[in-house]
Amino acid sequence: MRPCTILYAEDEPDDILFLERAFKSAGLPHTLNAVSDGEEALQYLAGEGPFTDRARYPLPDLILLDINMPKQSGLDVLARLRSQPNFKSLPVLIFTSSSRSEDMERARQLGAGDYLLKPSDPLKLRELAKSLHDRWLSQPAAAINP
Amino acid sequence: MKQHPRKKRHTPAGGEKAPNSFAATPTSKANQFHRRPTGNGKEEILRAYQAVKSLNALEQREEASSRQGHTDLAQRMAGLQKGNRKIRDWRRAAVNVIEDDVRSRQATESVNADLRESERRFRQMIDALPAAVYTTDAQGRLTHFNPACIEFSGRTPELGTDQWCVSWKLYHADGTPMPHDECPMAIALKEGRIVRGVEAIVERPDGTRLWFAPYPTPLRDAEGKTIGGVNMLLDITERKRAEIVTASLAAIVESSDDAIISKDLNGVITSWNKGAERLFGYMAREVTGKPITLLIPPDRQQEEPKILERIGRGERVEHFETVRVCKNGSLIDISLTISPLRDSAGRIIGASKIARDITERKRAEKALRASEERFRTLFDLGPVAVYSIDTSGVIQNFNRRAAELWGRAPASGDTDERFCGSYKLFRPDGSFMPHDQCPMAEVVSGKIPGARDAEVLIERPDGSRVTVVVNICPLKNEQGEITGAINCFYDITERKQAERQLALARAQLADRATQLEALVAERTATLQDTVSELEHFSYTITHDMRAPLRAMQGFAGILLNDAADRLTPESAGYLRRIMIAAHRMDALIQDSLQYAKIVREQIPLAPVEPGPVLRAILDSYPSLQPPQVEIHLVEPLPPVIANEAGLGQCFSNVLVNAIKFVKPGIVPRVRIWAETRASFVRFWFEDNGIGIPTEYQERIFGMFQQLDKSYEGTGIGLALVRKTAQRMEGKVGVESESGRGSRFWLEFKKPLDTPLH
Repeated sequence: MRPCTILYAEDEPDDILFLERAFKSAGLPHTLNAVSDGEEALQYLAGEGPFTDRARYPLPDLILLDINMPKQSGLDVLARLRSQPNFKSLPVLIFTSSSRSEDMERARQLGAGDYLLKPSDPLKLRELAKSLHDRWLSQPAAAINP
Repeated sequence: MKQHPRKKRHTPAGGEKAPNSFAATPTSKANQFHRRPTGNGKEEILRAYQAVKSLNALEQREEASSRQGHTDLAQRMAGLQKGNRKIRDWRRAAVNVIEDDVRSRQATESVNADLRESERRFRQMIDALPAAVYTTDAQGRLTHFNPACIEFSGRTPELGTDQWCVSWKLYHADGTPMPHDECPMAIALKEGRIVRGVEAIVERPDGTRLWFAPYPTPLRDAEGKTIGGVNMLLDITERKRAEIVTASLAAIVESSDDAIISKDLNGVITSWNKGAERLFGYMAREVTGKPITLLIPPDRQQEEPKILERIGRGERVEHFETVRVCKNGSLIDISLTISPLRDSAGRIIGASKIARDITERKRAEKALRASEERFRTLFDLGPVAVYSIDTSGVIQNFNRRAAELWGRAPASGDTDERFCGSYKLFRPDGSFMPHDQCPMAEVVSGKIPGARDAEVLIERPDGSRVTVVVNICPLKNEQGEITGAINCFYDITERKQAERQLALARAQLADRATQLEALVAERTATLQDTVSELEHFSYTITHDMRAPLRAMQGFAGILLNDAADRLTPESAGYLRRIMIAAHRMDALIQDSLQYAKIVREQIPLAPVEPGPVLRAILDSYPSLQPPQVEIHLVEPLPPVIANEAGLGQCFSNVLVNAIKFVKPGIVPRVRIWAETRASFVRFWFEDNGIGIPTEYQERIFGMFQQLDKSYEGTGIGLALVRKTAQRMEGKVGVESESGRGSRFWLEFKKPLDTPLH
């Protein structure tokens, strides 16, 4: 099992903690790199600002975006990402507590890989981590253009 | 001439009475003459006397016959009287001559000379007569004829040879030939009697014919022996012609349908034709000789003297319309034409009246007048103004309404007024229109064939204006030439005003509508903004509320997990209760979010198969699977019009509800089946739960209504089902009894083209 890097854009620190614990309790070796807003997410991916050190901040194998974030929302980030050919093949998922259909629709339009609802139950969260792994992180690394 | 007194005569044997106009007896006279050497004298004188006697007798008969005669034909009378007068005159002349002669005879000593003189005079006398007179001997041979015979017979008779008559040929009145020896003279001589009353026809050698009346008289001697005869032939052609004319006239009068009546100057009816019989009902014999006043109604009696007066003056009364009374008492309307009747001297002797029954005409006139009256009333009092003009524009007729609309009444036939009776005219656009350019003028000049609903503005003398609509037709004669025009026009001022007001109102309405639309749009926009804001607001709030709840649940969970060995069972219990509370809160928030979503969003509807939806729910919820619960689906579950997600929401909420409320220790059982009605399908969810008391069955569908807090629930579940079902044009309900389980039902529309199950 190859350890992967997951970039998680999320403004609620508790949610970050819970997801980390979920991966750990599921026995998955993946690293969760969190940014707290959409702008940081873009900086991270561009290797700019505080994220120039690619050893410390490697390009992710999977991106999880919350929708409701300051500065740039998850959907804005998604839009930006999809317009850049570099990151077209990178799986970007929306990970949110919003069940609004307009959010779902927008995410689909913007080409999100999936739209996931944040469960409150820790057990459910662990199952979600497992299914993320099964679906997105158990293949060999996607070819990424430097 | 002095009339000699008539003396009783000494009748000689033979029976012949001699004229008694002489002082001396003719016999003695005759005898005197008889003694003369010329024996002819006596005879001749006798013959002369006989002739005169005949003439006398003739005259008397004529008089008699004229008295008896037809008094209703003045011309005939006049003709006869003329003849009679002539004859009387001739007779008087003859008698005068004879008297003179006889006196002179007596005076002279020379009887021969006297006799010859008297002979000559007799002959002269006879020859002077215009009527044909001839004498014969006893055998009928001609002894003398006067010149008139020549003219009469068309030939010169031969003395001694011609027998019986001087004529060429004779015919009976009926046209059959009459042999001479059968003629009246022959009969008179042969039978020795006077023959009178015969009418015959003489034909002259040149073929001309005459009607004549012979007056043959045998001449006798003193012993009464027939010694010869004298005959006078009176040309009665004129009389006959007159008779034919009379007969024709009489026939005309008789056959006429008109009543032809004649009366004398006293007003006594003298003749009465068939027409009169028919008209008045009286027969001729009933009224002839009666006064004409019997026909005149009592109130008109003064008409007769007036008519007679005018007739007396020689005036003719023509087409005098009056009323007369019939035999049966009924009154009739008649038209009288009365002419004076004159005799041959031109004197008015009476009147002839022609009466024509004009009852029918009067009736027709009355009906026509009534019809005219009706028409005139219509024309005059109708609500439409009407007037007519001739080709030069002079107004012929106009009715009351026209005068009202013109504001003036023009004088009919006034040549200063042309084409219209109005004061001033204007076109609809307000420009002045001279009268001779108005539509009436154009129609009557042939410029336009007519006018229909053309608008014209009339200004009245008082300055007020009316808008009228004119309808004009030309009037044409039989040749199709225009003789005038007629205009029907009516006031549309009010209508125009109404139209203007209507247009104004419409414009105002349109403005208002636009304003309102703008207002509505504005308000809707505002409302939408508000709604959006609220939505966003509620969404944000609820969304943001969930994060702390996750934290609560999460950290409580972590503690339970990581510090399990350090926690007392109590503390662990508290942590669990924190998690449960947080979970409840989250569920509440989620349901609220869901409810808001349902309220807000448009749900597209389409035919949905409920079976797969139910099975998906059962598969994805472990709590709905055996052995925890027993859920039994009964096929068929027909498709309904719904929204898949919404249907799923309803089903799952109802199911969750159904399995929740069971007595502890009981395995929840739910039976699901479908009931197909006419236009909808009802899905039943029958459970073995605790049931719902009747009084709460409605309440449970309200928001945040929980009947029993000992069972977990947000209280929104069924409200959500109801709202969702509503949005899918469906219904939800329950049948239940406390302690006996519940039967929840969900009802949705059947798709239109569903084949019946």
